[in-house]
Amino acid sequence: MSDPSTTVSADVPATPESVQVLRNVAAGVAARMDMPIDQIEEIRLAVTEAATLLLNEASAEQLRMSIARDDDAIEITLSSDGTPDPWPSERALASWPWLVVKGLTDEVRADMVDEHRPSIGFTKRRERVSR
Amino acid sequence: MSAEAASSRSEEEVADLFRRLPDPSARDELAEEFLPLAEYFARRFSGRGEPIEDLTQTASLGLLNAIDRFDPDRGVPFATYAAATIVGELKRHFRDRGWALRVPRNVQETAILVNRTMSSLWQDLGRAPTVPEIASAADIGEDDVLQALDALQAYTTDSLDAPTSDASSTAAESIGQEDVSFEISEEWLSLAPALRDLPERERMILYLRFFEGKTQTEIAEELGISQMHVSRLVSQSLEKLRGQQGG
Repeated sequence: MSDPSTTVSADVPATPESVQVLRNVAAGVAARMDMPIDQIEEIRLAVTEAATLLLNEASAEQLRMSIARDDDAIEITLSSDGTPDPWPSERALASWPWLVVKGLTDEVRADMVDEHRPSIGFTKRRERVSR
Repeated sequence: MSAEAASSRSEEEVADLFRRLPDPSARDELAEEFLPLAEYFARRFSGRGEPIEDLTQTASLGLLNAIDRFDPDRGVPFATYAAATIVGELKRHFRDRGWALRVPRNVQETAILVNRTMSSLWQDLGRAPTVPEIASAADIGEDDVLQALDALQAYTTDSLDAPTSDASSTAAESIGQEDVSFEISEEWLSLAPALRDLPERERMILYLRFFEGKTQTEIAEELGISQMHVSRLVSQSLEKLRGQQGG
């Protein structure tokens, strides 16, 4: 998953319009992995909820998304330049958006990345498509 | 242009034409006479993503219906009656297509094609199709499919919320069985206060999906609706919740 040739990353302003862009980027990568469209839709929703949660917890100027993928799974990490204290808070881990991201994806984590950036990452495995 | 000034003929001349019905030549003359009225309302409804030709055709159909149903003895000027019928027909046209949002025309046409292709593939395959599958079946590019899927999201959210002809319920509420009831825990409902404002069916689907951890397929079977519908309702209700949380 750490092969840089399969990594996409984007820094955007922390606005609702940018979240729209991020979810479309994520959907584009998932589509190229041959993910079925219901899974692509779940990835879109998970990106949105993760961004919502980050922005609810601490005001931020900038959001970053990085995507790593291999043949069977996509791993998406969102982080912000906000400074929630602490991260992840108990409140965040008991919140609705967190529950939704968890429910939509196969693995989910909340930690610090790139030094001090609060982040939410998730992995979604592709359903095997019968042909 | 007001409805009353729609005709160059006097009310008396128009009434004469109506007395000659069902003579087809009188019907044609009336249709021709009031065509500008239909065109006027078609233009008023243009710029919302539907081609003007389609709107004019729809408005003309409304006009013909008005001619066939008009009762000259009721004392209402025909133009007034026709205007109401034409507007009704145009509104139905938009409602049938579910397009309340303004989407550029070519995106919208692609979206309709993609939606149709997606539905039939979903049914044929018994699972959600992939983007390449939709692209090849619809003979368009994968990027077009993605763009269309994005547009369709706005579209489904909107059309499912729109009141159905039965004004007391929305399409989303009337899908599937009506008599399934669930004990939804208070604790769960308190996670997102807006959950209480969702239609019961959507709340139930979110509960099954995010509390009981069921898959879309399992929920579809349980509620007797298609997986595609479950997928749409999940997206739609999450969008609604987020809208209300202001996040």
